[in-house]
Amino acid sequence: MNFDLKDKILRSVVKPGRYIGGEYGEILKDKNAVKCRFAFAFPDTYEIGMSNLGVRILYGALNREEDIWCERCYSPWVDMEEQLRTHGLPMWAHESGDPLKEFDFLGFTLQYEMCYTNVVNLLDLAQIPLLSADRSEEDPIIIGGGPCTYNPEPVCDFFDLFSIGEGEDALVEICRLYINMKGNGTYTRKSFLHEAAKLPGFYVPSLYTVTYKEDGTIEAYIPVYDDIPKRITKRIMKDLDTSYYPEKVVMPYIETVHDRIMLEVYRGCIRGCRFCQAGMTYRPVREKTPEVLNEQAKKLYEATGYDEISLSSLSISDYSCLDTLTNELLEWTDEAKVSLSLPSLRVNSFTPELMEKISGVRASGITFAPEAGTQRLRDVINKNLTEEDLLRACNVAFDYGKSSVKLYFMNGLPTETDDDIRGIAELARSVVSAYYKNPKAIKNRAPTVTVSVSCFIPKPWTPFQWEPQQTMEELRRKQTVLFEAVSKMKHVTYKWHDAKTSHLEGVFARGDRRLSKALLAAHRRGLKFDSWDEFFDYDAWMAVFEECGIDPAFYANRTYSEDEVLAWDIIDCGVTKEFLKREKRKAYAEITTPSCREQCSGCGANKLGGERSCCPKATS
Amino acid sequence: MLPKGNLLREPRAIRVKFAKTGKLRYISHLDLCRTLNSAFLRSGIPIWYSQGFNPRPKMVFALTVSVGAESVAEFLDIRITHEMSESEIAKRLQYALTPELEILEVYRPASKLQEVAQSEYHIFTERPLDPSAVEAALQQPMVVMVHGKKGDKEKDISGQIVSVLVDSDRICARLLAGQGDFLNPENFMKGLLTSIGEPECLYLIRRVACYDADGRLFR
Ligand code: SF4
Repeated sequence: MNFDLKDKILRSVVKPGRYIGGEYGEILKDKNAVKCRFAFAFPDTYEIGMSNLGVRILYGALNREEDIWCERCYSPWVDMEEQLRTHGLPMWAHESGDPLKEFDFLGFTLQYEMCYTNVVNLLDLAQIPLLSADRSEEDPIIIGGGPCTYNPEPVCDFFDLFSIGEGEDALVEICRLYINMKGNGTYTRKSFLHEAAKLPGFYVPSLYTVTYKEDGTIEAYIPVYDDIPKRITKRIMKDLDTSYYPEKVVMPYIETVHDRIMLEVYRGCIRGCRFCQAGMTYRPVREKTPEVLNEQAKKLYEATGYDEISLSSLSISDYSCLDTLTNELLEWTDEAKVSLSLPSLRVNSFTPELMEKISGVRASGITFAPEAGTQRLRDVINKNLTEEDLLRACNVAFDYGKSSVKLYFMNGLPTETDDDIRGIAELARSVVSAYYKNPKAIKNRAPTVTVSVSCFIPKPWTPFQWEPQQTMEELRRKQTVLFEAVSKMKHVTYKWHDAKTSHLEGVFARGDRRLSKALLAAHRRGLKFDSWDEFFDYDAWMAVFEECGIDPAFYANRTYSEDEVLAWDIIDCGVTKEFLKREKRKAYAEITTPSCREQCSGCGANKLGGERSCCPKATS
Repeated sequence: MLPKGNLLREPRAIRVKFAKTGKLRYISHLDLCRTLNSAFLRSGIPIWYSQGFNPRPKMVFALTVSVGAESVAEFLDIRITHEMSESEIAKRLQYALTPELEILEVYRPASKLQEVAQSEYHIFTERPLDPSAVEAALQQPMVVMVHGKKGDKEKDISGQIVSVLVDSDRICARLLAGQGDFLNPENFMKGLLTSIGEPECLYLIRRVACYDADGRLFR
C-alpha cells in the first residue's frame, strides 16, 4: 500500500482533525466547472476560525453563487508548520486539498491586530510572494477584510486590496468583476486592481501614495488615478431581514471555541462607549425582526443538530424585541432540549424574568463589564452603568443560586487616577457583601468574584483615538496598586492582562503603512501566534522595531493632534471626526451621551442608510 | 420541526453498524461521539435521552478503534422513543453524515455489545512483509510496552493473538478484543514489526469484523 506525504504528515501532528476538512456541511464543487476559486483564510487556529460568525456568513454567501467556489484555510499549528517546511509542501485549502497558490483569491479576515504575523506566515507557507509589489500574474489576489481593516494601513504592503465594511455583497461583486475581466480578456493584475478601486467599499493601498511631514506624521494620501475615490466608504447591508444568512454550518469534528448556533440578532450598537471601536464602526444599528430570527434559528437547528443557540450581537439586551424573540424561541427550544445563551447582557436588563428564560443554560457564572471602578470614570467613558444597577443585577443572579460573578475592567483609561483603580476593588467588595446580605443566596457557599482587568488601548474610530496609551511602567504600577487593594480581600480573585501584549496591540491599532516593514522583519525572525502567551516574544518585537528604525511609542504612547492626518482617514466608516471630537470633549467634561434610542447624537452614520435602525433619515 | 411517529410504550433498542474510513480515521472517539450526537439531532430520529440533570442522547458503543485506524465494523446502540422503521433510521442518519461515516446496517439487536470478544483486522503495510519472518516471530513471546492505568509496562501479548495470516502487503489478524482482555492492534504491529526488524514500516489498520468468545460473527 502507498502512503502519500500528506498522510505521513497528518500522522505526526497533534491534532490532525484541524487539517483534514471533510466535515458535514462543507461545500464541494467541481473545480473545472467554476469560474472563480476563493480561499478564505483565518489567520489563527482551526478551533478559533471555525467559531467565527463572519467566516460562516461569507463562506455561505460566496458559495451561493454557482460559479464561485469558496474554501477554507486556517493557520497551521507549529508542528504542522514544521512538517510543511521540512517537506516543502505548500499550504492547502480544506475542501479540495489544492495548494492555496492555485486559487484566484486568497482572502484573510483580520479580526485582531495580533494575528498580523500569522497572515504573513500563512502567505509564506502558501508559497505566495509576501509583498503585493512582488506578485505576478499567476499569483492569487490577496484580499483582506474584517474589523481591523477600519485601519488596514499596517498590513497594506501584504495585501492587493481590502474590502471595507460588511462583505456579503461586496465579495461577490469583486469575484464578478474578476470573472468578467477574465472572460473578456481585459484582465491583468494591474487593470483589475484599478477597476476594483472604483467599486464601492474597495481599497487598493498601492493606488494611494502617502507623504509624511518632518515630524513623522502623515501629510497626505494622494490617489494615483483621478477616477478612484479619495476616501473609501465602508459597505453595510442595509436590510438584515433580507440579506443573506447561512442556514447551514460546517460542522467541525473536533471541538472548537464556539461550537453552537450563533444567531446574529442585529448589527451595530445603540450605546456609545467611548473606548469601544466596534460600537462606532458597526454603526448604524440594524435589527432583524423576531419572525425572521425565529425562522433562521429553526432552520439552523434542523441543519446542524446543535443543542445550544447563542444570541449574538454587541449588546443583546439592547435588542428592541428581545422579549418577543426569546418567547418565540422558547416555544420550541425547550421541547427540543436546546438551550439559549445570551452573552453580552447589560446589568439593567438582568431581570428575574430573563433569568427564568435562560436558567436551562449550564450553571455557569455571570459576567458583567463595568469597565471602570468609579462613577466618575464610568461617565468619562460613557459606560452608563451605576453601582446600584450592578448590585441589583448581582442580587438577581444570587437569588437564582449563582455564586460566582466575573467583572471586567480596564486600566489606563484617560483621566484615570489611583482612586479610580482602588474603586475597582471597592466595587468587588460591594458585590461580595451583597452576596452575604442576600437572604436567598446559597448558605455555606462562599461567593467568588473575579476581577479581570485589561489595559486600555486607544483605537481608531473612537473618541479616544487621539489619546496616548499609558506607558508599560505606568500600567504595571496601576496593576500593583490594584493588586495591593484586592490582595487582602476575601473571595476576590484578580486577573490582569499582560501590558506587553497590549502595548504591541496599541502600536498596530493606530499604525500606518510604515509598519509593514516591521511585520516583515518580525516574520523573518519567526514571530507568529502573537496572541498566544507561549509564543509572544516582546523583546524580539522591540528588537524588530529597533532594527527597522521604528519608535513604537510614536504610535502607541503619543498624544495625536486633532488636526493631524490619521492613517485611517483614508477610510470612511460613517461616524465623523467632528462627532468623535465632540465626544472626546464630553469625556473630559465627564458628561455622558444618551443612547441612540433615547436621542440621536448626530454621529453621521445615518448617511449609510439602514432598515430598523434608530437613526433619523439622512438629508443629502 | 418534523412530525413524530407513534409513541412507543417503551424505548426500543436499535443497533447501528457503521464504517469510519478515510479522513475519519483521524477523529478521536470523543469527537466521533459529538459528531453522532448532533447527527442524531439533525436527523429527526426520535432518539431516547439519558435522564438526569443534563439529558443527552444516549449512545453506547462497542469498543471502538483508536485514532489512526479505519473500521468497517463499528457498533452503536441507541434507543428510540417513537415509531420509526430501521430503514428510515438508516436513511436519515446517513443523510446527516458524510460518506466517510457510512451507515452499514440498522437493526434490532439480538446480542449484547459486551459479547464482542475478538476483532479481525486487515493491516496494510507500506511494503510486503516476509511471511516466514512473521511466522517465526509468532512462535516467540512478543513483548511490548503497553500503556496501562499505572503507567507503561512491558507485557507479553502473544497470548492475545488468535490468528495471523500474511498475504503480500496485507496482514489479516484476529486479536482479542473483549472488554477485559483487549489487544490494541497498534501494540500488535509494534511488537510484530520490531521482531521482524522493520520498526519503521508504515501501516494502516482496518477493523473488518467482530466475533464473540466462541468465534461466531458478532452482529
Ligand atoms: S446617526 Fe444618530 S441615531 Fe444613528 S447611529 Fe449616529 S448617533 Fe445613533
